[in-house]
Amino acid sequence: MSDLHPTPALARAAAPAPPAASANVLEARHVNFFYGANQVLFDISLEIRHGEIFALIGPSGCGKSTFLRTLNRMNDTIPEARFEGSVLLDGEDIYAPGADVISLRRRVGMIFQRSNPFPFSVRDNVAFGLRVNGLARGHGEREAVIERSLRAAGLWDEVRDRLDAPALSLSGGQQQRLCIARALAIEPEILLMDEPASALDPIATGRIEELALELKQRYTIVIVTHNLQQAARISDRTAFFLSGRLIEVGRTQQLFTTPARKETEDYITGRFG
Amino acid sequence: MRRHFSEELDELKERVVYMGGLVETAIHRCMRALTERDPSEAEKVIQGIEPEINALEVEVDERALRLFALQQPLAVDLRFLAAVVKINNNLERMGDLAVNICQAVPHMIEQPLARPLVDLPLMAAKVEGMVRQALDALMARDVALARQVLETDDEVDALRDQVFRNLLDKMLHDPSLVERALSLILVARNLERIADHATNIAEEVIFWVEGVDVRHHMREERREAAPEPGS
Repeated sequence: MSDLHPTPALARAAAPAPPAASANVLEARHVNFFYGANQVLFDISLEIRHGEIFALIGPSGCGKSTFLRTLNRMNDTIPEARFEGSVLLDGEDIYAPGADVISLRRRVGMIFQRSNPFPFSVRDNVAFGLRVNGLARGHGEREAVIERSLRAAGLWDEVRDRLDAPALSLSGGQQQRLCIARALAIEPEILLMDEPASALDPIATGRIEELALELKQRYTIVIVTHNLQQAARISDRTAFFLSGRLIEVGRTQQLFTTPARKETEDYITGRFG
Repeated sequence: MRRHFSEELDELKERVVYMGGLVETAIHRCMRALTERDPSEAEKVIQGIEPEINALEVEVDERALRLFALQQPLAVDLRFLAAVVKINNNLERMGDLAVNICQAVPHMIEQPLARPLVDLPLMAAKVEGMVRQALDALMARDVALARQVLETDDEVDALRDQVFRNLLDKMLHDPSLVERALSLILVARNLERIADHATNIAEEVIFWVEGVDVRHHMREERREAAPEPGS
């Protein structure tokens, strides 16, 4: 059962068919990335479409998180790191000289693996981004945004009576949803999620997944996950990375039932190595 | 490398192929009961083989369900398990159809047949060949062999039509033969249904190995682009 070789039919399926350009909200073009002399991404080109959940999968060290972080320039602060290529957000290169990184991060929010609420109250965590960005200055307006964001993150009913409680008193799953509320408060267009549920139990994970499915009505989501079932459950399209290279990208249902490439097949069936 | 899982899949395949072997034997014996006018052959199928096929159907389903739940298979493994569940169901139905023939044998051999057995043994040999090829294709992941099964199905259908025409002709000329002719038509009908199930099995093998659904001539590629790495 382990002698897997892509058949001619599968090899034919790998032939590219260009998607409609107008639907792309993010477009990576020939992205290379280096930590010092060590190249970790090799000529990655892919498009992320408006209103989809796009999953990045691959073994540890394959470059999927590094790639995710290039999408809102989170790698900029890493010493010795070097980016080549371009990433277009609605057609504009976010790496163009003079591109506004603050505005980029407002448009492209990020949720991390470990929830990282500030040691403030629940309310102040959500309001933080508003203050930093000079948004919703009036008290009434700010309160409205806080409620709307907490509702969108599926947390309002659980915290409405304790908005002044310390954020760190919430459960792990609640803290992660608080971080999502904080990201939503500044109304991004895209949410990047780096293993958002890896530290959560199955119930809290289920809530985050449900939330992602609800949020995609209004946001485009790019998610890195080690959990193949999670990628299969929630994403519309999936990209498989291996050793810094994009091996295959396609509709999630197809990639998990009839992957086109042997490397993908070997990885998702656990026959890797 | 999930060696344990891989071994469990191999074991499951062996059980399915063993079950297929029983189905082959059942078909062979039901035809021998008819051609050699030996009801004891039919009895062996009804009392011995078919109950074992039924027990295997339950066992294979349980094993497959357990692997779905515990191993959460993907890609080729997912396709294999989905195919096994369907192949299992097809094999069980094939056993039932062989039993249908066996149950008719005692009554049929009480009197002379409406027509000498010429086309029916030919048809049965083709059907047995299809079952064997479908199982060999499963065992060896052999898509070319599976496709041969699909082609043979048309030949079996043509033979069935020929049997129907000949017996219809008999009945029109001699209405006293109607009951006996109908018994032979039912044998042909059961054999033809067994061939259809063998075809289903071959289609599942193609789906497992290539990920292509060839049922009902569904050949369109429902795939999306996957760019060359680094393109």
